[in-house]
Amino acid sequence: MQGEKGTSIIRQWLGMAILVTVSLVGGVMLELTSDGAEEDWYVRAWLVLVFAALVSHLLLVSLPRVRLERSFRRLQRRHRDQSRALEHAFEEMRHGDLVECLEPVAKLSESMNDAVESATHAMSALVQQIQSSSVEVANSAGIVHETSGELVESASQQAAAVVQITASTEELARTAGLIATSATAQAEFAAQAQEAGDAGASALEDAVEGAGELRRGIEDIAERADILGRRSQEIYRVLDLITEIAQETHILALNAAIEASAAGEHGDRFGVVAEEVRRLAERSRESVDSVRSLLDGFTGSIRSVVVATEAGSKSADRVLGQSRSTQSGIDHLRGALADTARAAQEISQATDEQRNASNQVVLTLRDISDLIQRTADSFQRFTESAEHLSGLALSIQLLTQSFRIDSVHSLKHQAWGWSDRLRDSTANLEVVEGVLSDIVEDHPFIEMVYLVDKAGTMVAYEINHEVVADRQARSGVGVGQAYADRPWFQAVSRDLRTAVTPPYVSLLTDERCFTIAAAVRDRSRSMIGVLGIDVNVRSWTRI
Amino acid sequence: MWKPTDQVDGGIQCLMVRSGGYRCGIPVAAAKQVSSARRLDRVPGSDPRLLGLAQIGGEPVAVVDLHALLDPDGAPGGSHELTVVIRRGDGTSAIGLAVDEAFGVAVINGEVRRHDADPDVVAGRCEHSGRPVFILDPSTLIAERDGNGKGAPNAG
Repeated sequence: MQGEKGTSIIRQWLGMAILVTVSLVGGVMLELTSDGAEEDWYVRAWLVLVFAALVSHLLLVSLPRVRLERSFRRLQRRHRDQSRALEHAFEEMRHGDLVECLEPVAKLSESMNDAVESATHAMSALVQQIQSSSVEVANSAGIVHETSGELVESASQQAAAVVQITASTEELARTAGLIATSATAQAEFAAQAQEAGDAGASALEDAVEGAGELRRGIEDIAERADILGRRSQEIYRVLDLITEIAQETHILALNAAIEASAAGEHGDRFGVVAEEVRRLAERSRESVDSVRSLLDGFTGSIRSVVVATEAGSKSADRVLGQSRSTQSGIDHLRGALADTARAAQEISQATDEQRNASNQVVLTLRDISDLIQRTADSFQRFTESAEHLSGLALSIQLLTQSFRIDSVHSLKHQAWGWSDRLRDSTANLEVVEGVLSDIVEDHPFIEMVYLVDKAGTMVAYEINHEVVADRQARSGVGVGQAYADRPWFQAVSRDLRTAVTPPYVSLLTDERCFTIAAAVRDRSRSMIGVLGIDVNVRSWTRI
Repeated sequence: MWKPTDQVDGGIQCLMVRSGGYRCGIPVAAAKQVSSARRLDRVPGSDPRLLGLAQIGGEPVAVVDLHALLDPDGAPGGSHELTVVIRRGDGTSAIGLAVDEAFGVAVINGEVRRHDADPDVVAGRCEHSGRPVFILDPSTLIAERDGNGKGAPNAG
C-alpha cells in the first residue's frame, strides 16, 4: 500500500514536472525565435517535445490514474460492505450478542475477521471471567454477609452478656458494700460479744468458784452427817445397852418378885420394891423405845441429809463440771469471737477491696460494652457493605448476563437455544409444555418458565415446585394472564432481542428474581411469541 | 390337877406372861426363875414343841414353846425373848417355858374355870384387867416333863 501510494505520488509529480519542463523549454525556444535564428527547428522541436510530453503524460499519468480510480471505487465498495458487516457486528455487540455478532464478520477480510473474532472471543472470555468473578464475589459476599451477620448477632449477644455481667458486677459491688457494712457491724458485735464473753467468763469463774465452795460445803455437810450417823450408831449401841440393861433389870425385877413371893409375908416389901424396879425397867425400856423412835427419825433425817448431800454433791459436781465445760465453751467462744471479729474485719477489708475492684471491673466492662457496641456497629456496617457488595455482584452478574456468549452460563444464550427449540412447535401445546418441563427440570434455579404469544397472553407455563412450593395459588399465575404491558415483553417485541430485567421481588417466592425474555421466531425470523424465564436469584447465585 | 395353893388374899399370885396372842398366869410358887432367852440346842427327833435345851443357872433346861402348848394346831410364832423356868418341889428346874413377854407378878382374883377344850397344861381361865388369862397348871407341866402326863412334850 505504501509502495503504491508512493508510485502514485511520483507519477502525479512526474506529469507536472513534464508539463513544467515542456513549458519552460517552449518559453526558452520562443525567446530564441525572437532573435530570428533557426525558428522552424525550434518550433518543430517544441512540438515534438509537446507531443512527447503529452504521450508521456498520457502513459505515465492519465492511464495510471484511471486504473487507480477504478481500483479506488472497487475498494470503496468493498470497504462499504465491510463497514456494513462491521456495523452489523457492532450493532450485535452493542446489544451484547457476542455470538450473533460473529455471523456478519465472515464477510470481512481474513485479517479483519480474525481480528473481530479475536476481539469477540476476548470479550466473551472477559465477560465470562467477569461473570465467574462476580459469582465468586457474590458467593464471598454472601459468606461475608452471613459471617458478619453471625458476628453482629454474636456481638449483640456479647453486648447483652456484658451488660448482664456489668449488672451482676454492679450488684456484686453493691453486695460487697453490704457485706462490708455487715462485716463491720459483725466485727463490732463480735467485739461486744467478746466483752460480754469476758464478763461472762469472769462471772462463770465466780460461779465455778461458788460451785466449788458449795461442793466443799456439801462435802462438809456430808462429812458431818456421816459423823452424826456414826454418833447415832453409837447412841443406838448405848440404847441397845440400856435396853439390855432394862431387860436384865426387868428380868431381875421379875425374879425378885418371884423370890419375894416365895418368901411369903416376909417378902412383901421386897416384892413391892421388885415391882417398882420392874416398872422402872419398863419405863426405861419405854423411854429407850421412845428415844430409839426419835433416834430412828433422827437417823432417817441424817440418812435423808446424806442422800440429799450426795445428790447435792453430785449436782454440785455436775454444776461444777457444767460450769467448767461452760467456762471452756465460753473460752472457746471468746476465742471464736475474737477470730470472728478478726475475720469480720478481714472480710470487711476484703469486701472493700472487692467493691473497689468490682467498680473497676464495672468501668472496664462499660468500656468493653462500648467497644463491643462499636464492633457490632462496625459489623453491621460490614454486613451492609457485604449486602451492598452482594447486590453489586448480582448487578455485575446481571450486567454480564446482558451479553450473550457461547457458554452454558450465559442465560441469554440458553434462552436463545430454548426459544429455538420452540420455533417449530408453538402450535402444539403438549410439545411446548414438554420443552418447558425439560427446561425447569434441568435448571433448578428457574422459578417459572412460560410462553407468551405475540399478543402478550400466556399460553403455557411450567413451575419449579421445589422453589415455589405451594405458593402458586396465591400468586394468580395461570394461562391467559396478560404480559403485554411488561417492559421485557415490549422490549423483545420491539427489538426481537433477548432481554434481561433488573431484579424484582417474585410473587411466587417473595424472593428476588429476574426475568430473561427471548423472542421465539419462525423460520422467516418473524416473532411468534416470547419465552419468559423467571430466575430465582438466591438459587442462581448458589449455583 | 393343880390346886390353887398360891392364893393370897383370896386370889392367885401369878407371874403374868404373854406368848403370841395368849396371856397366861404362871403360879408364882411354880416359877423358879425368869431368864433371858439363851442359846438353845436342838434335840433331834424330839417333839416339835420342844425348842431345845438351854443352860440356865448351871442346869440344862428343856425349853418348850408355850404358845405351841396352848395352841398345838396353830402356827409357831413369837419372839421367845424370855424363858420362865418351872421348878419342882425340891427346887430343881423342871422345864422352861419360852414366852414373849413377862409383866410381873399379879394376883388373879377372878373365878377360874376350865373349859373342855382347854389343853391339859391349863388349869382354867379367868378375867384379869378385862382380858382373858389362861392359868397354867405347873404340875401338869412337870408331869409331862417327867413322862407322867400327856400334855407336855417329853424331852428325855
